[in-house]
Amino acid sequence: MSRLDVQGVAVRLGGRTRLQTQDLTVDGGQMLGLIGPNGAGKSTLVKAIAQLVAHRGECCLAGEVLERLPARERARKLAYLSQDDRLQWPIAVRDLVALGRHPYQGSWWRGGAASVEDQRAIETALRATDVWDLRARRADTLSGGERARARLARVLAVEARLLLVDEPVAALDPRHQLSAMTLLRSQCTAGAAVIVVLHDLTLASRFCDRLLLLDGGAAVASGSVDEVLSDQHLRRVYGIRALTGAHGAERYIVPWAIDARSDSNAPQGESL
Amino acid sequence: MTADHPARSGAGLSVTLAILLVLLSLVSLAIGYAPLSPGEVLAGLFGMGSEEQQLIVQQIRLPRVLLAWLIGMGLGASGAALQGLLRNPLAEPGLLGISSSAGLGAVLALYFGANALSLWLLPGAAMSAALLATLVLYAMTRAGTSNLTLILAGVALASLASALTSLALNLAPNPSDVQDIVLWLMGSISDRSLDDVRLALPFVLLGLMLLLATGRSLDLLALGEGEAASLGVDLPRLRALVIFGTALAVGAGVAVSGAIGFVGLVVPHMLRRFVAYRPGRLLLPSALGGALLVLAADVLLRTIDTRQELMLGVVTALIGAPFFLALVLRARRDML
Repeated sequence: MSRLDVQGVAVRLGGRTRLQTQDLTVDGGQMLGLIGPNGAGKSTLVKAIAQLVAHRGECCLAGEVLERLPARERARKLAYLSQDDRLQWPIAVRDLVALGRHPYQGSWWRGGAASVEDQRAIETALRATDVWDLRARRADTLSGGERARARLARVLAVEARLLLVDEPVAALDPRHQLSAMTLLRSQCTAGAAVIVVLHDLTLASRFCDRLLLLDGGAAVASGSVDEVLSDQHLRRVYGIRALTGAHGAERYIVPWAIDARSDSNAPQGESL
Repeated sequence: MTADHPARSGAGLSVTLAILLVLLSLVSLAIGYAPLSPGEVLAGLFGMGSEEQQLIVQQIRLPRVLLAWLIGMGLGASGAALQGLLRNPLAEPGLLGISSSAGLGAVLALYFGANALSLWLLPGAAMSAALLATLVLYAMTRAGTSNLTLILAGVALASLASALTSLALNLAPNPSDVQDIVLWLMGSISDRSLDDVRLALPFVLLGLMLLLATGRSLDLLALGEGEAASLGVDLPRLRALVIFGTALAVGAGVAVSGAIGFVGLVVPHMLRRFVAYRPGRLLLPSALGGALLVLAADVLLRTIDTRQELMLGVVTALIGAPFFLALVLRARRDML
């Protein structure tokens, strides 16, 4: 099982502690949602686990300490999608997705020739994200939604056991938000551990198995969706009141109003 | 997935550029005060022609062609590598202050009359200054600064170098020194010997090897630094390769030829579309294209009859700048 154990991770930036979280565990097949207001440290935590920022503490994936793995080996085990979706050069979609196979390919003098296995992984990723028909298109001619799917295809092409995805749906319309989340969910079903940063609380509650609520670089709450997305937490951390309700077994949470008061007289979340 | 089509791999482009480069080199060896036929050029080149032909081709014209190759390759490849590293289509060797620092080193050598002491002092001073500028830049990347800081530091270094160059001109004791410095700053490969080629060759070759080694990493960097690092790109190593490669290839070029601008900026732009915009695949074609452009400019200035021979750096800028402007205006969208 590709179980991720994060222990004692703390990040210092510019002389002050930017992030200090409790230990957390994500089992293979599970999706952990990171939520919290802007600047809460969500992206920093994801980068620390991806070994992109210096930090204290250790991240173990399936018993192997990520901090001590050679970069190339680590690159096969985890795939990271950044929040920044700018692509400087208008390369073709298939070239973009093929970059995800780099950790498996030979050295530079062989030009990173794609093996049969690479070709299969690239095709699978292109089809899974529904960009197969766009594979010859230049990335700068894609719509925002198409580009987001192409970038997800690049991440899937790594075929990693741990996916670290920073705000994958921020720029997407509702339909593509749902399809992107469904796609990540299907990676869980295939056995991957997924950590996803989200702002949309309904998507977080519907698609994630567990949530970690961060604020000011520290964990405020961690656990099941119901435990974390309580009215009290929403008021305290986001400073909002939300309308919540249920559709079948699933919850929806609609941010409704800024909560000016933090006293106990503030109205509880209403049901629609 | 279909396999990479040869037209997209850049191999065909490199072969085409290499053939053009060889043909233009033969033209360059043929034209001049005593024009030679293609047969005479080949005979002179391989030691089978008359003594006079051999002298003209091997001693007078060949160093010029080889220097054009070396300088152009260094400028083209480092322009492509810097644009890929900094993810900025405006990056070029001049931007990081490496060219102007090398220029300053040479100017100081001229200013203090070191040229009279030894032929090696001027290129040596130029390369030392380029290396010094490089070490400053490299120290900054070791400290974990961003690419933006690197660009700003480069701009500061370039300004400092040109200010000190102006100071040397300002304080120059006699007009002939000023003229030496100004002419040198314009950049030229005329009246150079095979000694100059031997001086620049090892450094340019080593620099080119470092630059060409960055291909895959530059491709991955298209994804942004975070994602590239998550795929195994060692960013500090990549920056070191590009910076040292540029210093060697461009510093050695400036040391023997003076300042030649615009090649590192224009050539990668012209060729990018032919390699499907992949920064790594752009390196070799840019090296060949740079050599072709410098050689073409040199052939042009030798064919135009002017009272005084035009300086190479002037011609490359005269061709490069309007051409670049036209590119910008015609295809604003394709500027990426």
